[in-house]
Amino acid sequence: MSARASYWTAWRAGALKDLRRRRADPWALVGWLAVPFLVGGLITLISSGGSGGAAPTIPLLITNHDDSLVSEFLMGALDRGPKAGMLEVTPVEEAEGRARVTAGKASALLVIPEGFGDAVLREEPAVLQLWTNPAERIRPQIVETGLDILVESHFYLHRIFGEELQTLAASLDGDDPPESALVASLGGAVNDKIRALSPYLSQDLITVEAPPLAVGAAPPEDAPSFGLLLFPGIVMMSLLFTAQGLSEEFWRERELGTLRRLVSSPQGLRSFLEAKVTAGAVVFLVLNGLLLVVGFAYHGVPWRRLPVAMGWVLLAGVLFFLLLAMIQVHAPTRRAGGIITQLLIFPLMMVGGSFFPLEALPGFLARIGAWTPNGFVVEKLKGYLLGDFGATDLLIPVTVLGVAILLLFFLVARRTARAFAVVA
Amino acid sequence: MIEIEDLTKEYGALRAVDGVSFTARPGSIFGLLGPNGAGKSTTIGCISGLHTPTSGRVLILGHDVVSEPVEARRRLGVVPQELALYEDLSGRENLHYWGGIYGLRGGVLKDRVREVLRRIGLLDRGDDPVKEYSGGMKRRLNLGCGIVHQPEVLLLDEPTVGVDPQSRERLLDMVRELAAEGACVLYTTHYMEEAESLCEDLAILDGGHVLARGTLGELREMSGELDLLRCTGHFAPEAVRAAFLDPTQADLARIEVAQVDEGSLTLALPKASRRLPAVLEALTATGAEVRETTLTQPNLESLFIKLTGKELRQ
Repeated sequence: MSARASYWTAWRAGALKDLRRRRADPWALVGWLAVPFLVGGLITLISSGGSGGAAPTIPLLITNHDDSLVSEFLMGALDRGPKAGMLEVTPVEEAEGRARVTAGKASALLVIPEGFGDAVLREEPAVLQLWTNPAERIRPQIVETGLDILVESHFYLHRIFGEELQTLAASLDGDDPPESALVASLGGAVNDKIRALSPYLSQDLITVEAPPLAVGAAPPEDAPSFGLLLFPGIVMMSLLFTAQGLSEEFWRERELGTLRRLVSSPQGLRSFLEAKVTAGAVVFLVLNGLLLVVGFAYHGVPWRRLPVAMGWVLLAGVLFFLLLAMIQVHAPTRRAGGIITQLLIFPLMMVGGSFFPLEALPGFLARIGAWTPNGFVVEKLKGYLLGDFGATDLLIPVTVLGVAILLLFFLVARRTARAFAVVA
Repeated sequence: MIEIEDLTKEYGALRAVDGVSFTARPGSIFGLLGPNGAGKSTTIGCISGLHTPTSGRVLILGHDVVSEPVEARRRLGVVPQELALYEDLSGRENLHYWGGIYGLRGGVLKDRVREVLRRIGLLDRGDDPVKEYSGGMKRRLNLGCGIVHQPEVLLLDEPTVGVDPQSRERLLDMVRELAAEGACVLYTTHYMEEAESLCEDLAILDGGHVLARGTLGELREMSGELDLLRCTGHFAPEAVRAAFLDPTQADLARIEVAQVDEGSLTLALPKASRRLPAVLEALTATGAEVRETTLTQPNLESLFIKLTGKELRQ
């Protein structure tokens, strides 16, 4: 038999052996699948008040002492802006609003002070007061994040349309409304700037629409449910548990002595990692594929997105298996390897969208979460499932994962062969 | 055939194997004998490719294990000291895996697995998980995994550790059969009686060196007339050592204290049966209380004591 044929035979034997071992321990598989199911189900139930369907709304009360165009715009933006569908805005008198927040009947009260509109147009300091319900944590933070985004928008608005805004503010000083000619010239200037900037900016950011003033509008029908927002995180949780369990195999093989025995075979460790990755990929495909199918059916995600989602999850599974395997083969003991990998995956799951969707995390945590490897995987999967982008938009992320997998494979293989498998 | 020439293996300042040379022939069992830490497993590790020799040469049927590792290892079967088995798989699945690792597949693999299961006496238990096997059955399966690909050279690293006498005899019979079929077997052990009953050629290792090498007959001759006298009872170790070192006691000349503690004593001496009264008298003088004595004729163990001044099991 040729060396190449022997190599493939050894690879196949190793992968089959690993799969048989997985089959011999069905409870581990159940655990890797059931824990995320349970955690995800409970969190969805708690967060959605048992409805499981529509995303939870956040009752936000607004007292508007300003009554200007800008303050009306702010109210509209909170109702239909970045947190669209989540905020349920109700205008109230300040005293009533405070009483309702204190009584736990609303998540927050936003007070817009008199002169706010002028201050915004002139780019002068202005203070918005946000009274939050002390019994709640996440929902008031979501409101705060929404306001942060608007404050940032205000800053950039002035960088671009500063001159026009100042002119508009000056024209509003008197009792009379601004002249039509002035309004027309300002409109023309704003339009010119938008045209000039449009090649450099996303069209979505420059969408011009009449600010809706409807207050207390119901969430849009097509808003994603909380369960769907959390679903990619649940898949990720299962993936991390599976990857962690599979990565422990390195220590089991070493303690059994099978790794040393393998070193003495003609192929040595050459097919060892390949077989482990192959068997791991099958496990990821079966477990997470099952999870995806259930999730697609439950959340009504179009089935045509299933193959790409499965491919993405498979790649992510292999990536995390190798990442945790690298920690295992560098750990001084099996116990240390187990503790380090668990210390890593639980915070990752926390900030990476497995316990709460990034949308429900405070701004700074959501930003950190989006940059974690699992947060990256979760956000891409979520975007794809929600139809925010297509399969071709995943090409670059897939390349990133592929490169990371190759690098990790090389590092794990080298460490296993040089130090981990053979202990003097 | 295994040819080892001036093999040395160092770990930093520690020289675990120091200039070891020997040749093991096809169709015979070569014993590598020595206490724990003598360098046996390191020597086996250098042959099997687990360790890279610091210097020297190891040839398996003419193939250098360093420059032609794949060719050398293809002809090699290794049975490690630990039970390198997957306990959650069946015996048959374990054999299938190791056969596959050595390139067997399809009908050939299936036939070999069946043949090995028959040979190791596990044909009727082949589909049971290994975790349900007794210690002796696991040892036999451990051997089976090393021979499933029909190696021409077999390395057995203390394969009978922790095995009951009945299973040990069965294992030793299997090793004899393999050698009789033409395999070159290298067998390490620290059980002298096992080496004496099994091996035609032997090397005795201690501290990484080969202390003696030859056929069983040649080594027995080297051991000279030293009998082993083992006593149990109550002893004062320092007083016993002093008594047998006393140059004024002509009756106690050429007696070596191989081992002594408060409950047991081993002496190596020529013509032990004739000198027993003098020995007992000397022990009594030290305050010792001897309850039982056992006399053993010259053997490899007495040779080891002669060469190293200590017992093999120490």
